Amino acid sequence: MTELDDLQQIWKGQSSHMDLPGPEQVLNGIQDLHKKVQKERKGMTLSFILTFLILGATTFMYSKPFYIIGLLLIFLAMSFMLFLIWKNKEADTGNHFDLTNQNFLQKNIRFIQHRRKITTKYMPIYASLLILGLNTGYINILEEFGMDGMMRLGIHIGFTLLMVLAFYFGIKNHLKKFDEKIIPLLDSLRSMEAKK
Amino acid sequence: MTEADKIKLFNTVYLENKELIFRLCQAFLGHSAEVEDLFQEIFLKVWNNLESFKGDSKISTWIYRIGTNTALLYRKRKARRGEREKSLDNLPSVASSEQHQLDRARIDQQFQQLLSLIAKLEDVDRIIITMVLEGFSYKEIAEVSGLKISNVGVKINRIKNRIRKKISIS
Repeated sequence: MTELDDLQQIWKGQSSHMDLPGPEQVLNGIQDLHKKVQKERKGMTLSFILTFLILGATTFMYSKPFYIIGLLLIFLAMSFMLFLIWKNKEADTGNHFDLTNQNFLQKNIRFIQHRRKITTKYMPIYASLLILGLNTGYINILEEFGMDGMMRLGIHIGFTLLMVLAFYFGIKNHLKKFDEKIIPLLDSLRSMEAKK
Repeated sequence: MTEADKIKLFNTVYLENKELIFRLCQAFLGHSAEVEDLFQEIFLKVWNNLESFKGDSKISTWIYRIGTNTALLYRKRKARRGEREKSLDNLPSVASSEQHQLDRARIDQQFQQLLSLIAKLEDVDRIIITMVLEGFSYKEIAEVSGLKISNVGVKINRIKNRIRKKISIS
């Protein structure tokens, strides 16, 4: 017997010990998971539609110019972000698991790099539009409380600073996560290419 | 493909490849409790991609591509959570052997040794050696990994030498 045969015998010798589930059991698990994902998607779509309906309804009930401009800016910001996410979805790796390991790693790396680019390049635009929209909308809302000009200005500045800080740390955290994801993939790809 | 045809094909594919895939999961995760999660995740991907199988290669090669790609990403997720080392620690060390007399126990021990060595290899080497042990051809290994066939043989010899030095086959 050759050495390779010995190793193969050891490797496959474990099979008789295995107590693996039957195909029906695995399929049931897969279908349960599909149902769960569909339920989550339906929930997300519903909450998204509800948000727009509520926002739309308030513009009729509260038809002040700055409030409407503010909502439009928020809508623009959200649409911009959704478009970028949808665009990136096209490059998603979800259905490409049957590529060769090398192509699969490259595709994943490109996907993460694209998401990183969205975060660094477009997230500040989204944040600026959102902050501008919220501040514009609040011009009319704060008027209702009868506060003086300085007080209202203070609230706007305070709110803006708070949002800028939240976005700054949010983006920083996202970039760190992307780097944590991409570095091991790059390592694997490099080791693979070095051995070509 | 109708749903019934898909289920029928899945059943056949699953029964023919479940052990092969389970061993692949063990090669990536040792005896961690997450082996079953990875196993399930691979067959979820197989189910999702089943209709895209064109028959250009053997179905076992196609499944191995899905399996190794899923394992590569799964392992990266684990590494990020700092669990990789923990699962590798669960494997017995190469030095702790030799006492078992029964054949079954000896094969078990040797399997643990082999698994422990495979777990310590780089991802690419791990994929190659598990494919060699499963009996895949050089061409099939190249089809899964994306390496050139001419390099597969050189690579296999290098890995086998590393393993030979550390494992005692009796």
